[in-house]
Amino acid sequence: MSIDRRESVHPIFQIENLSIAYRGVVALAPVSLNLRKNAVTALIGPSGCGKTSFLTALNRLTDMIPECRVSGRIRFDGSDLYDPITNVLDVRRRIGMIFQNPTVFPMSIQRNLELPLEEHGLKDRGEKQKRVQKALEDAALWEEVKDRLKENAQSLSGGQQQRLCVARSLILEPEVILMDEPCSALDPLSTRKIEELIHRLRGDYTVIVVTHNLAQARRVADDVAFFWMREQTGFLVEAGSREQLFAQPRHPETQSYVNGLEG
Amino acid sequence: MFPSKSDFLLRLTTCLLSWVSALILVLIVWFLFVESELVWREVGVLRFLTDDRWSPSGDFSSAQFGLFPMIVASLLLAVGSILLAAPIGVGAALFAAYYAPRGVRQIFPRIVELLGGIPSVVYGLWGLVVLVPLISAYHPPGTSLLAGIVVVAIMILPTVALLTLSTFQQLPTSLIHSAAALGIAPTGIVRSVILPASRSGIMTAVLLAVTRAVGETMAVLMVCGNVIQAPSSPFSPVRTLTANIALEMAYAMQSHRSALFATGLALMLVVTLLVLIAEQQRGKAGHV
Amino acid sequence: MFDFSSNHAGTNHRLWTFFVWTSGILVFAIFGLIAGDVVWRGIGQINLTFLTDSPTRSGRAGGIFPILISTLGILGLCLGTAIPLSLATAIYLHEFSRKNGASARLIDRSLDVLAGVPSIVFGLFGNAFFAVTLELGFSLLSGGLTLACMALPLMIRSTQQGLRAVPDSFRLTAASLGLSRTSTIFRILLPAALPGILTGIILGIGRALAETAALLFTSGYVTRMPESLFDSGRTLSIHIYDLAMNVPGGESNAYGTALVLMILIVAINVTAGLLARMLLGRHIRLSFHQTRSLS
Repeated sequence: MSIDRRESVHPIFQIENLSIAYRGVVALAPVSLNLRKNAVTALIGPSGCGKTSFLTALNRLTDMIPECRVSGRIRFDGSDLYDPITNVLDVRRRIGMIFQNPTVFPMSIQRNLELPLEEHGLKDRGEKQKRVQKALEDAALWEEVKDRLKENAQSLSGGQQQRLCVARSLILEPEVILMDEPCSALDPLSTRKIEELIHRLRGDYTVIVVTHNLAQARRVADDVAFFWMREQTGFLVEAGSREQLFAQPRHPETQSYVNGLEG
Repeated sequence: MFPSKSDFLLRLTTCLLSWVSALILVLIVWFLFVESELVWREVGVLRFLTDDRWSPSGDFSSAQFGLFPMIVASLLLAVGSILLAAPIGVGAALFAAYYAPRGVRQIFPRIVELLGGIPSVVYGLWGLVVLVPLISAYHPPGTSLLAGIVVVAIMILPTVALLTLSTFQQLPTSLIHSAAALGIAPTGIVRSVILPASRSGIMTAVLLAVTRAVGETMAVLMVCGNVIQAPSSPFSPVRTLTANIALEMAYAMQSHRSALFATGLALMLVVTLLVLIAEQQRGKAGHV
Repeated sequence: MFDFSSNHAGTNHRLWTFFVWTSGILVFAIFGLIAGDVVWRGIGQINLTFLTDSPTRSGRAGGIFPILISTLGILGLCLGTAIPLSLATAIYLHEFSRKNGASARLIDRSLDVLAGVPSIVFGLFGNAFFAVTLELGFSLLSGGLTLACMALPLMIRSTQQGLRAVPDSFRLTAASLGLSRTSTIFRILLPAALPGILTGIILGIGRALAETAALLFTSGYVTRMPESLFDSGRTLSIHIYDLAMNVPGGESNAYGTALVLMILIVAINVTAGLLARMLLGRHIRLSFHQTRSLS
């Protein structure tokens, strides 16, 4: 299944028969899907339907989970993501990720941002300083923290921490940003800030966001993929542009879900 | 698998070093065995129990390897001290968990930790200077099995109290509340709910404390009098297996040295067994 | 927590309450008695010359300076060996090995047993392996290495607990930023696990300073000032033992030494606590009892 209308336009991820199992139990049945470059794609569906598993397969974070097996094929920017010769650290630099609960490291705001930069070979102080400021500006956090960069990042509010996480991803100049329910731990005001952020990223970055909030998907997404589950196994029901999926869903499950009858 | 060379090196190094850590145990057993091999071959296990005396130097036909009185002393010391320490330790843990005023509950573990951190020679010194004269006034000579039991009981008290306390703290609060809701009186709750639910944890605590009692050397060496004899009363001076090693290793040669290592190996086996049983109990406690 | 101190009728209950209170008070009393005894009898012995002079007349008179130096030397050797080894082992067990894999279980179990080995057995082993087989003789080196073997399981357990307390989200987030495992461990996990690591080091120091039996036939009991790590030297705890048992009239200096030893132990505890608080900006509760159980 694919987002047919725009398939020809630069898919950054080409996913064929991707399936994921934990301890031998299939959590996600084979999925085939293309994801458009520089668009915002929302993955929606009830909890447990494999959205998050799907997302973590895209930057190979599944490698970190014991007894998790991924099969099928993912092409990222044309090359096989799971090829043994793929440099996974480089892939993860190019594909940033924001988690459900903001995870800042217990060090200063500045160190939080510099650490990944240094890891990827940037040593020059002036350049680091410039990139820190730019990332914080892009994440709409600069004004709030510019005078307290040396403070412990854990002293920030939840919403600020999440924006710091976004800044920390952006500082590596990724091509893709994966977001796993980035607003579910945040208050409405912080949620709006993150959504505005997603809007601004559109066009420059590919954003793939998992959300259980249909209104949010409607607000931020260009494309939508709808997952459902049957007997513990998640699967992709359909995917399409936001207008198509919400206005003319092809499957009855999608229809009842987007109209709020189920899930 | 390893996109970064440093990751591969780190994994390799830490893996090798952790095998070094694990190898220490193998080395200990190996050296105890190699050093005592002579005596196992020439003397065998049985003579340790049946020989009349302990005079292990000289050639094997004339030397005597009777460890029996010391085995009895070690056993009585361990049993006596745990009989003393277990009820008080569990009582103290109950006190700290449920009975004491709030402020006391908080400092109690600190105090017990400090008690547990006192070096065993200091316990020995205190026993020798304070406790032994007290016992001697009642029944000379004072250095005795009893002195050893009291000092070792004090030394293992922190182990029993702290481990039991942490077992109590892991009990679900709902357990106590639901018992209280049934109208069971506080004493009843302790005896019919808390203690049975913590049985495995208390067993672990007691077993690990026994391990310490069996292995204790310095304090026992200082207060027990070190006479090789099966005690006729609690006031008899005795020598334990551990004290025997400490006293004689400095000048032991050949068969003598080998016999001391054999004693060490036997101690090691007893302690290993106790630890493995204790860990198994702890595993059970984890599933309550 | 439920409060049991409320009044409740019944002799059974009164007896029980009496038993519990007596046990609790007894623990405080014993601690007061022993600590008080050491302070009371030891305080008169301690002055500057006691710390800076060499012992004379078998230790009845004079000070403990060379003994302090030997103690610190042995302690340094012990920590210098045990800290890297325990960090490496804990890192491997917690960050690399497969959980519940056969090799991790084997290493874990052997550390449990090692923690229970009596100190006199460590003494035998240290004598046979370090002093005789490796030909280090009775020396600070033999003693320090033997103590390192003893302190190792405590320190590994503590570091493991520290690593366990670091949330998994740190590991996943670090990975998602393309950090290598090495950087993740050294720059994020170990700093975050510092309270556990420090607790382990304190426990290790406590165990090493308190140890006597394992040193009798490894470091020996020469009172001279050691000139190198290959020299024999006696620690504070051995000095206490020797004065109390083998030197008639040595008791007062034994108490003086005991007080110095206890002050040293408490001071190291307090310093490490302050250090941890300073480094992390929050109070660190030393999780003593779980690790203690292994000793």
